[in-house]
Amino acid sequence: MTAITSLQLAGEPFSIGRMHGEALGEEIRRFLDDDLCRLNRLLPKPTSLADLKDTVARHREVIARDTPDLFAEIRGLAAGAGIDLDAALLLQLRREVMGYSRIPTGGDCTTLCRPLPPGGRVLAQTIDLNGNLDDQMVVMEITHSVTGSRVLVLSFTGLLGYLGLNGYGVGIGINLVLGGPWQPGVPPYLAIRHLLDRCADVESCLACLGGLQLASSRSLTICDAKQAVSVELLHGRMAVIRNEQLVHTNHFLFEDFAAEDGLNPFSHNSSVLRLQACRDRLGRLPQRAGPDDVMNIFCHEPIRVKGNGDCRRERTVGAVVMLPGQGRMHVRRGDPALSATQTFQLHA
Amino acid sequence: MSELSTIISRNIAALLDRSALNGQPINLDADLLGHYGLTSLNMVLLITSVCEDTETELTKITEEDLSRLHTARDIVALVQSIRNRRASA
Repeated sequence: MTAITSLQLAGEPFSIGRMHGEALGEEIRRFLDDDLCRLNRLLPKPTSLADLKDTVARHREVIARDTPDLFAEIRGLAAGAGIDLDAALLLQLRREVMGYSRIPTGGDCTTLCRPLPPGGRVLAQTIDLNGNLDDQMVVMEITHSVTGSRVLVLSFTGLLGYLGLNGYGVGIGINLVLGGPWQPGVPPYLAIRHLLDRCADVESCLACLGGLQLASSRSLTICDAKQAVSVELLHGRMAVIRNEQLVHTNHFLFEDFAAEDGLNPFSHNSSVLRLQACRDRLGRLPQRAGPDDVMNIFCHEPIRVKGNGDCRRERTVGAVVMLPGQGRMHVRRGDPALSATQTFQLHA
Repeated sequence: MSELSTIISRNIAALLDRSALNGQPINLDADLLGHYGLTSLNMVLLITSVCEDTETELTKITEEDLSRLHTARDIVALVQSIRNRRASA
């Protein structure tokens, strides 16, 4: 498989977006033309940008209000790629447009975080998605000229955030959890980018998250040099789980949220199995395990989710091992058991 | 027909219009989606009720198991394998 596309972007928000759009314009337009960023291969009924106009507008209002810098970057992306603003926004809202029902959404991804002697932490996860998105993976290194903040983000074509780390040593991973009404708001992928752009530690991430109107439920795993948390987000509510070692899959762990879990019982069983398997393997890792040892956890079923040829089913399209304190990200694109590691470094 | 096959056939029939069966028994090898038109929701309800009627623990069945169930005979095989594992445990 070819190397993962990587970009280095710098400047003010609109300029960063425009550079991004200019660099990947052809890929962005091709992805949009591909069954409307593959949405029409996944949705029960086909849709169009025209059909989604009102939905996009309702999300746009909140994104512009709560994350104005990212909204400027999205405008820049549209200008650079030569696409409508609504198309650029759709690239941020793909998961919200897919929505969820108890059936048939699976919901995969396994995330772990643990201390890494002699100091710091490792934050790592599988990326389990439908739509065969491995070929759309992008890594972006972003330097903000106004604040000086630096961010290393793994994402997908035209999407401004997904998971990553920043120059302050903060790392953020993500798991889908299903619950509550999904509503116009900031997609959690953008929320992660918003936190990485401005937050120097876990506590400021939590404070910042509390001020956002999020579009959908998620669990985020956030770490800095001193602590790590899983934060479950469910329709305006937040539950924080603090521990030295954390594992999260796709069901709610906080008891009060578990009662509202929208995962179907069989996907819930799969999620529980992956959680237990990851805890077991993590428990057997030596104290001084390196990134390859952690990556190896993701190479075994049930944590590694193999595809069955149906692009509507989630499968493991990548795996990431982040060392936020060192500004380093190790990535395997595609099935982690079959692909090689590429390493990305946040430059000083 | 075995006891398991009978239970599973009964549960499939309960999800279908009478006219869809046309007086015929459930074909254990017919595709549940393609031939009987069962949806993903139907499949979840079917397996849930089969587990209840056969006293099979729901927690033993994953999303991956569900994705491999294409016929009534596949469901019979799954329930039987869970029973066998329980017996040898």
